[in-house]
Amino acid sequence: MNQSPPVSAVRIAGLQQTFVVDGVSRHVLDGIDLEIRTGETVCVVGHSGTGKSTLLRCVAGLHRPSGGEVAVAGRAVAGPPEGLAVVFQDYGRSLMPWLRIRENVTLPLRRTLSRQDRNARATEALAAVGLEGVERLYPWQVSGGMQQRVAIARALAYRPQVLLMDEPFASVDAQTRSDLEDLVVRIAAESGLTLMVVTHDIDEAVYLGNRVVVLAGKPARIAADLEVDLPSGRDQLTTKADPEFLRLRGEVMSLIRRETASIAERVSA
Amino acid sequence: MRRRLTAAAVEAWLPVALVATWWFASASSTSIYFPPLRTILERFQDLWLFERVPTDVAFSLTNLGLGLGAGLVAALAAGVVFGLTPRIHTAMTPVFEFMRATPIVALLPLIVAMFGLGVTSKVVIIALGAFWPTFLNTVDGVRAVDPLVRDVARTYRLRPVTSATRVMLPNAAPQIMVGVRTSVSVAVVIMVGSELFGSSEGIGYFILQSQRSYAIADMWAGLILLGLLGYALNLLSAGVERLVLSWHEGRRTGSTTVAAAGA
Repeated sequence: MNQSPPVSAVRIAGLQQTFVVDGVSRHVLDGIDLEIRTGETVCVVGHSGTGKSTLLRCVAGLHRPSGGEVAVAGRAVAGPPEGLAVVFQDYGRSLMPWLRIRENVTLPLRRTLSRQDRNARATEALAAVGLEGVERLYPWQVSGGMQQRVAIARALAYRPQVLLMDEPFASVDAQTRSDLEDLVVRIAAESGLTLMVVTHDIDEAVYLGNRVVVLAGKPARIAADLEVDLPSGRDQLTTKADPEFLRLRGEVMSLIRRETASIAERVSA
Repeated sequence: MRRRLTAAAVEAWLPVALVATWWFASASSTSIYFPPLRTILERFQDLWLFERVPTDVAFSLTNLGLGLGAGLVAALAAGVVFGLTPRIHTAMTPVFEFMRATPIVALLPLIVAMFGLGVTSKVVIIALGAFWPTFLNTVDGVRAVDPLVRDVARTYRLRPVTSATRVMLPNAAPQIMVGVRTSVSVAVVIMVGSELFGSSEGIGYFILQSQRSYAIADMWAGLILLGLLGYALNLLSAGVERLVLSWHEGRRTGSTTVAAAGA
């Protein structure tokens, strides 16, 4: 460990977020400190409404934090940063229905690449997510799971250093969901991408992550930051039966429960 | 094939019946205002097939094309800009509403004073009239763009031009097309209006001239030509709309959904 410290892909320090809606201020995030090392997959888990998505949007430069700092690849975030892509939950709305699948994937590449290179990139990225021969179709002509694959392909073709995913599989059926989880595990392993995945699903968080960050409370703080010590080749059957998986899952669940209970107490008191 | 013929017949019977009624009812007319349809059609053939096409018809259609083109392009560009800057838009709304509510033809004397009696003033007034319906619909359409779609455009750092032409305008296209169709019909009205006032060419001028020289059948022939032109323009804009919104229609009906197992 006498080498220079690993570069952090994402650094969040003392992040505060307060929204004022109709004169009522709502304190959502309270002093979030988080560092994501390059190549890591960090899953942020918590109840819906805890502020997970708000945290992700601050990293993506879509919200301006009320306080604290966010840096991506060493540069302070003041708007959507370079080299960062986001996969949103709602594939039906995040893909452009008037563009064919290929044009959807190449849309972000128009700034930098020639048409020929864009199309080559798109074909490659679509193949990487297991989609071939759909380039000329419109997104609404394929299933929901395939649409989310297109959204992932769009992000991959962009070749980001940091990929953010906001509840990426919350709107697909269970079977599709585990297929897509395996796809993300594979992509993370193959590409060396830094990944931040926001999810409310504890199993998914432990299955995907090298680290699981539990967000809880009102306003939300980091309740735990757990290393996931599971073999890197994950498998839906064996990994989810691994004693370490079960232990972590139990720990995360009890943390979230405890927070919910203490909030309930405070509310009733 | 048979079904298409049936559909065509259903659509055509009323116009055919009306023309027939007109034909027979006016056959022995001696009224100076309502000459026999037969006479009108003879005049129509003499005038518009195709003697005056290179002069009056070409003049009118060129003005219409230039004015409509300029008006629509300006409306789309300005519509995106104002649609994306809500604060400016809110401040400008009363002004827009005032401008829109002012009958554009009333500006004709001013426009003529500024640009003379030539082609310029006609193109300008047509462009002004065509601008508003498309502009206001574009603003509304762009304002209504899904916030998530905006987030996608922002996170992928699309260039403003790419964002406007590939994201904002297509997203607003269904509403924009409503505006465009209104703009087209407004433009035709203003085209005729501009030729009734201080002009020496054009279909509108011809109609006015015919009336003044008591060539009532000629006047009617001009009116029929305008009706046919309007009809053709409407078909044209419906065709453009179908082309532009093919994705919209396909998605709405879902008729082309490819069945895919799993993901």
